[in-house]
Amino acid sequence: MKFTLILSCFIFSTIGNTALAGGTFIGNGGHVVACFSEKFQDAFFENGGLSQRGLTKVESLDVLDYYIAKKNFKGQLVNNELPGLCELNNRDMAFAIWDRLWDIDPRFHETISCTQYESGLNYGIPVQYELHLVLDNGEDLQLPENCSLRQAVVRQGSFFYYNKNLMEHLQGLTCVPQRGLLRLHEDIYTSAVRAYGHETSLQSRKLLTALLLNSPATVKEVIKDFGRPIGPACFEEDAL
Amino acid sequence: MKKLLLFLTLTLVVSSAPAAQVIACFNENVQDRFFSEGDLSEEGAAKITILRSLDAWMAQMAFLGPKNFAGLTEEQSYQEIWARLRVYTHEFYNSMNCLENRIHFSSAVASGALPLLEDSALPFEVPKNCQILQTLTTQGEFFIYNQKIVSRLAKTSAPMELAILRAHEEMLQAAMANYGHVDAARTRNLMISLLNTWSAEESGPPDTRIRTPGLIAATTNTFGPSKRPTCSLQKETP
Repeated sequence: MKFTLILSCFIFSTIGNTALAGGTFIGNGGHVVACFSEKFQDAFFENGGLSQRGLTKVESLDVLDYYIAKKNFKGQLVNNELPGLCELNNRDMAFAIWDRLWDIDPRFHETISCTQYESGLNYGIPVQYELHLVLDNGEDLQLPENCSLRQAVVRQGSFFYYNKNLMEHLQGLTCVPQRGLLRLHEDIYTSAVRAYGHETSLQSRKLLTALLLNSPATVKEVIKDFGRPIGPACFEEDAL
Repeated sequence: MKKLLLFLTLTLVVSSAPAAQVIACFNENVQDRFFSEGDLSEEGAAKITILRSLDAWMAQMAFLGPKNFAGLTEEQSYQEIWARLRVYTHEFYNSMNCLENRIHFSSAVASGALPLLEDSALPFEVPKNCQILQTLTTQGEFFIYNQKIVSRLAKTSAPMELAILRAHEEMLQAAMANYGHVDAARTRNLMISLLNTWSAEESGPPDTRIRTPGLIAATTNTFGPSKRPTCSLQKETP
């Protein structure tokens, strides 16, 4: 058990954060977009993960926020990835993104940053079945017909259920630290729920997308729509 | 006819009641014919590969399964689960320990099939070769259980399985009454944590003491604010 616990903690030290005490229980986010070399078919997936057939056809597997950022990027992609991310590991990429926010709006950064998340206790549970798709309200995703939205992680309290197959391929199919992106999304959303009373991760996704695009003007627009702070982002139990 | 009436009545009354469940898995995709009158059919019994409490099955998936229950009777296992909660939490234990709802199968109401209550809030699709079965539920002061499934569980599984059903049902009742929960997700996480920690007596080797109670602390922290410091299933007077 000890090994499994350590392994689970290790896996989710790159993804999870502390659960929302008394807040939204099942967190949103945890979405990935899989795109294939031909029109999507159900047979490309099996038990929530990529099937053997899907593996022969898959062209990309991205965290949704990153997929949107890539779509909206006006510059030149490097090997079909946003420039500058492949050189970073999960942790350094997270620091870099938080630093971008600090540079743009330090006061807002103060309201949603919570470094204590990092010391919180999280447990990842590998699942070999299809996770329920938890859609954010108001999301209008118009994916091309060769792509499909999938749930890679579902949070229930301090437990993060993750699809083992998708998580392995998420790291294996790209040089971008995608697990770190999942974690960033969860960190931002946790703060958005606590500090701003958000009920979906839509604004959190917009913020992360804008930060990935390194677009200060868009970040400022998103911050305007975040609303007024209603409480702290950090709770005492985060420091467990 | 009596059975039909009982089923219809239960369908109405248990729709918002807490419930404990069992998972049955077979060596092929589930078919209706695998079940008969609340029990496994002959074919279902021949093809079943797993019959255990949903909490233990999830604990197996998460952390390799319940720990340190070997050799314990049902009652000892039941006491052990509660003792772990007492040892590793303090105020939280008091808020969950409702003395008025102790469950014993000997004093519960035996029934046939119970309508499935969708309160498990499982984060994933149940595998096609598996079926969740409602096994124990509460209506007012009565505990109602699927007698045939419980009998099978008692014969084919470890004694702890029945203890897990009892403890789950009691803790879920407390979670709904004292923490306002509407489904079993957090209670199940708590049960998974309790099943996988060190026994109350041992509390584990020193190098694991911090980590394993941490698993319990992480789940109890998600329960939200308690309405009362000491558990009670009595409704609050306005």
